Amino acid sequence: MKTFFIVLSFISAIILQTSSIPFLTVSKISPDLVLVLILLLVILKRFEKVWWIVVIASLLLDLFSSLPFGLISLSLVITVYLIGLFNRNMFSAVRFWITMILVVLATLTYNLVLAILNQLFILIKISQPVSYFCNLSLDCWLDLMLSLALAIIYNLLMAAILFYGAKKIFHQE
Amino acid sequence: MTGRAFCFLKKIVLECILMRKTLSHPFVLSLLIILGFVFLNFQGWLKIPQSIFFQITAPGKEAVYEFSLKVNGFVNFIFSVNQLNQENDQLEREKEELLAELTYLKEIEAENEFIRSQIGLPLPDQKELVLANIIGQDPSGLGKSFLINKGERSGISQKAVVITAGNILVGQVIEVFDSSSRIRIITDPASRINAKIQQSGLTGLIKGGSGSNLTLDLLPQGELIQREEIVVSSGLAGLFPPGLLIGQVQRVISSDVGISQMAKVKPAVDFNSLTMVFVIK
Repeated sequence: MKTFFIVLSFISAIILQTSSIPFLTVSKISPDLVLVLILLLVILKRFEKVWWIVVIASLLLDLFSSLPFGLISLSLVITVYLIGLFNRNMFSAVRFWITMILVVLATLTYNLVLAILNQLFILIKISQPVSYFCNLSLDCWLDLMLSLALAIIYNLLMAAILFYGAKKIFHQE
Repeated sequence: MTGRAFCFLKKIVLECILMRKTLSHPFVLSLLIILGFVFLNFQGWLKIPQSIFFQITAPGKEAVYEFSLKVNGFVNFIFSVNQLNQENDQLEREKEELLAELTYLKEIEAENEFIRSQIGLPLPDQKELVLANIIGQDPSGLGKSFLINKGERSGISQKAVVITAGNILVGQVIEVFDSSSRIRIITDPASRINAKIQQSGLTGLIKGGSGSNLTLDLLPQGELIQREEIVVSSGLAGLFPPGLLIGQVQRVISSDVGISQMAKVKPAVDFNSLTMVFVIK
């Protein structure tokens, strides 16, 4: 029953992420509902137990994206695995403020991994040579920093709203 | 000799166990599965499952998308209620100007048709359009694309041009499925369109980027470009028909050392309120 609820919440999240969430865009940035939800799942249940949900959800997200296929799923899996590992080695309990720290770290890691993999995909010619990130100009970097800060705030807000609900549904027995 | 062989065998078995352990680790397994799917997609074998998945989720997504659009419209209305009077006055003025322009253009159209018939030139071809609803947006926020509910079955083909009412350029079809298609909008970083400034006829290349504005690049140096000048597709390269409205010049970026100048262009389409588009067949 619990698995059913988890799968249902992910399908709803993917549908919302591709239809409603783009309307919440403020200065090019919108909250990453699926990243926050996958992160909460991994924090509350461990990556080893829910890896298949993470893989399916991220692959479905990739289907809806115009980015090179696999870019989002690889970035999501690497990010949540690293953050889950960090959480297990640093913190012993699931607390609200710890989760908020992890959301900040996850947002930064996800964007970094996405940028690195994008360059890698271009290098091995899986995707067109289109950089979705900055060149070396100062303006662009300032813009990127501002976007990252906004993405962190948005994801924190999303995580704060979802935390207690997710704890009820996802928390392991 | 047997001892050495035994040691070698033991080493191989241990390495196999270690490799099996590594491969069965959920993280490694996840990466391998995703890479497997990347390979399948690269070969084009994911097209059918993708098409079926879009077909199943399309009705739900369409309903959620329309609902979100209504909520967004309502929220925008609440926040802009103070500016409505001012906006209304401005729109009234613009309407009068456009009406005068329309009357003048109709006169010219009639004259054009008459001259064409006199010299025996055929009238320009009427484009066949397919009306489609938007059913979803790119979830990443990096790539700018959306899905529409018409695909191969409706005669849509790859690279078809997508416009909205008023001959305003929206984008281009980049992927076609059975009953849906993916459209890359003009602001996507991968988008490139040959364009010209309508008043002066200066040609350049419209590029998307990370923001919501466009960049009109490769404009000849030394030419005067003014704010609010209209940018349309030039039809060069034959990918986009000429004369489709792209946007208005907002800012000109020029330096003495550059061989060309650039202009920032505000797209004419409001992508946040777009629900339907036309695909040119």
